[in-house]
Amino acid sequence: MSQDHSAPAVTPIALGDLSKLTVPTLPSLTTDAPKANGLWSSNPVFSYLNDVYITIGEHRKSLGLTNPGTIENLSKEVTRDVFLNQYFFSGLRADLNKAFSMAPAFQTSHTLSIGSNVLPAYAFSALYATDDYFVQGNIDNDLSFSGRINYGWDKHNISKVTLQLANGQPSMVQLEQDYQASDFSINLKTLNPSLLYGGFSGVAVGSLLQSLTPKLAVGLEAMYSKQAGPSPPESAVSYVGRYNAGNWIATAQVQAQGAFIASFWRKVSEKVEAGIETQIAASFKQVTDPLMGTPIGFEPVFEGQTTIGAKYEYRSAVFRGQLDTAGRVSAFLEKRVLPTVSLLFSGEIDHFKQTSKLGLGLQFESAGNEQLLMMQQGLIDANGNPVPGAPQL
Amino acid sequence: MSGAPTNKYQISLSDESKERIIKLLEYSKTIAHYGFIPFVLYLGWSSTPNKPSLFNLLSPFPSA
Repeated sequence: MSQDHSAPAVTPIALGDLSKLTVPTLPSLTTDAPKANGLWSSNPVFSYLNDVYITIGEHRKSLGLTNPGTIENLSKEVTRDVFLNQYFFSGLRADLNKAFSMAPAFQTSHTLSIGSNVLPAYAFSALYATDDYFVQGNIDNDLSFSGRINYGWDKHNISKVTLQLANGQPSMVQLEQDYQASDFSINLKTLNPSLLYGGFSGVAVGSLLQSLTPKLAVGLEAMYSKQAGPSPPESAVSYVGRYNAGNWIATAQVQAQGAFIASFWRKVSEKVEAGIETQIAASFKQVTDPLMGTPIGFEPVFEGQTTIGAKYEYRSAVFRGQLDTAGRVSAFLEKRVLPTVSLLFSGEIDHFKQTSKLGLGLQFESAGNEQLLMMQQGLIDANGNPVPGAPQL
Repeated sequence: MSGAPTNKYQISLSDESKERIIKLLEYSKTIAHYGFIPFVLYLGWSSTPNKPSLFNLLSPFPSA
């Protein structure tokens, strides 16, 4: 390719013979490498800067760093995988999920619930996901709506929009941009941004997590918030650290409001994971006069809570159990009784307050077409071929 | 501090256009509130090979 280009340029052509001159009609598809003696690299300042940039880049590669994940997922292994807080529910519930296609994924879900003060009586949600974007919407019987759109520009950049709208309640919109490079992650997000009420109002959060060694990552998160109106803006900076040693992960966070959170996760065996999290928060509490009830000053309050939990994965069931220093013992069991039916059980006893909560649920998977129906029942695989050992049709 | 310097970065809009923007935001909120789920269902419906009917899309029971 390069020979073809250079050959006509060096052969001298008679001045009048323009037809022999090869004039490229289309710009070359291959971009030229920077010229060694071009203006940008030949001047001493830029060549020095280029050298430094390339050296730093090579040195960074030689460190063998990996992407540390995001600050949002800093202690995900403990708080979301092992602990059952986000799975816990009370009362009775039924989930009816219906899949229409697998790639791209399209699924609807109906959730019915009784006796819970958190879950709505009925909620419908629809999800559609392809390789580069993901759209999900959820609406309940009070017409409270929440929606999410994630769009991946390439494998490093993801934009996210989250919407929450409800009748008679303030709406919420969050715009988020994730940038995950080879050894660091940057996340920028803003909640209810507005420029209409005298400058910026809303919340803006920026965070950076950087790998220092293949196992250790440190980061910080800066938050700025300004309410519309005369109230002064607030800002806060939190610092985080994460050490990932393969089968155990330790994380620590120092939050600007005076809280310290540390967590430790360990893979005990192939099917068992355990986690512990400690939170210590220092805050100021108003002291009131015992007789008059008027505030007379402030006293520092230290509050701490530790939670320890474990997760067991069985062949057709997942069990999570946890215990905390506020006197709560809770358990969550998810058991697949049929290929398309799962049973959920969740329970919590608060020994200090002498209260308890109980939740029972059923999860049904159904399909919108014949092939998916057979796939869900384990008769055929994703390519439509019969699974060996499955009962004959 | 609360005087001129903060106004430097402020977008100066007349009250009329401010109201118009707020109204526009209200409309787009309503559209997102009631139009988002039908939009997701349409996206899914158009990409599914067997084009399920509206009843099939909304009913939780298997429709094969």
